Amino acid sequence: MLRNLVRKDLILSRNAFLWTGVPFLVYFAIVASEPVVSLREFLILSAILCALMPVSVFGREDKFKAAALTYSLPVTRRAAVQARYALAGGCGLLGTASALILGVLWPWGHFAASDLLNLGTILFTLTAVVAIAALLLPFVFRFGLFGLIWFIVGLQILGIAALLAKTVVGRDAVRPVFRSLGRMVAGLHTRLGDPAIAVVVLVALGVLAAVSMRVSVFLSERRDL
Amino acid sequence: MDTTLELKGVSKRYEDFSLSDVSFSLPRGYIMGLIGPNGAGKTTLVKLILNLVRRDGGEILAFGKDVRDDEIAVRSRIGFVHEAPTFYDHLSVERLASVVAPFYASWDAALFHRLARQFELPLKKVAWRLSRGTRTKLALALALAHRAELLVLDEPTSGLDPVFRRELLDHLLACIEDGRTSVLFSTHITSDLDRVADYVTFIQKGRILFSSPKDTLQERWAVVKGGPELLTDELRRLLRGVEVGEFGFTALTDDVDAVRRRLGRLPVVIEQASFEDVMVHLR
Repeated sequence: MLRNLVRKDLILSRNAFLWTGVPFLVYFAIVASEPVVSLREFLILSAILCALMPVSVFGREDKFKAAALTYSLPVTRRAAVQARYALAGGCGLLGTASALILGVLWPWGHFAASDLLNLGTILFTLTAVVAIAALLLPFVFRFGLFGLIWFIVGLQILGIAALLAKTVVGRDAVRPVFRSLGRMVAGLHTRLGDPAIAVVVLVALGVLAAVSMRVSVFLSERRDL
Repeated sequence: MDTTLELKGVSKRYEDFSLSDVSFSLPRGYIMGLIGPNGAGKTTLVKLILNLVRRDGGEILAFGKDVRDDEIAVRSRIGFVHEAPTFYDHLSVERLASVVAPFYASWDAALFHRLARQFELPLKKVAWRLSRGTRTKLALALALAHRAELLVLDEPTSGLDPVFRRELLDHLLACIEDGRTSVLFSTHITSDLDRVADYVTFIQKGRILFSSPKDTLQERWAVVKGGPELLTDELRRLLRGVEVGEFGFTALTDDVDAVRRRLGRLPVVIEQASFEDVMVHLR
């Protein structure tokens, strides 16, 4: 059943993957050519786009209002969710690998192959892809495309609220949060070369993906179509 | 008599609408029409049967199995035609069938192609280019090609031209000829029921008003028409949905004998009620 569901999503979304994948690759190439973009920024940007691609493609089902067709087939919602996690994982990995390889091969790129193709960097990108997808997918399963849009709009509203708060209170309360977040990300990137830390992070990613999938199954099973 | 579908005390609550204590059963090899005005809860009920909507209470059994607990086994034997058939619109008819087929062990490709020829489905055409009627035909072909034993159709005839509507209804009649296939279809077009339904279930404001064999219903309900002077409180107690006009009243009754006894030789008209009469007076 899982294989049929993955096949179905691949057939249905092949064009959407192409429409989003090709511009993303062009964008990766442009970003890799920018000397002001640091390696970490390149990796995080690639991870965000590679995680968003399958998430937004799955959201298209809402556009066609075709979820009722999918769930009237002899499939469980659990299996449908599992298939999409498998596909999101596959797309995320493929996209990330493409970004890293492009970063190395792109003639105008300024990253060294050794910067991109090492355990720490690969794991770092993988962590970012899994974390973003694990956070977003439950929204898509529960609220569809609108859930994803509202999530992004919600983040923007939070940003505006933080700016307003800074203006009113006169103190920038958000900057320290982002600074410490940035330090965490930098620390993670630096330490991921250590095999022991890499194993811990891989286990943590597995747990995060499993929890996210359980939440998605729970939410999907409660969604009325 | 084998029962294909059985609902017992099913309920579903929304903020502004609820289905309460819905119970009925559909015997194997028969067609049941689910009628009711717009917003009565027909589509919700159909979605509950397919577990597209979670029920809050009660039990729904198809082929003796709970549709929620055994959803794969149950859905393998159900064919569904949605009110406004939705597909992955950029796929061709042929491609769409190839996506759906692997999910059914009993998929019969030859049957699908036969149905496609019979329904004149353009196999190479993408779904979004199909007309409303052709989309319904495609949904029906997809539902039939895996040899479904229960066809669930949500308003399949609404928006169709009379020729295709008749064709579709005739096809439903042909489906049950094997004695193993049952059909549940919702509609608000009462003439569809007259043509094909063996059983009729009437839903209104989320409640089942009646669910019986069609013939029993037609024998049970009658329209009573008379002058306004005849409409006493005692008579009103025997009538439903009384409409009083300048020249008299029209109402429905399910106790014709009592009405006849009450009115004796007084000048009234008592005639067999059509489904439309029942729908209008019980709304």
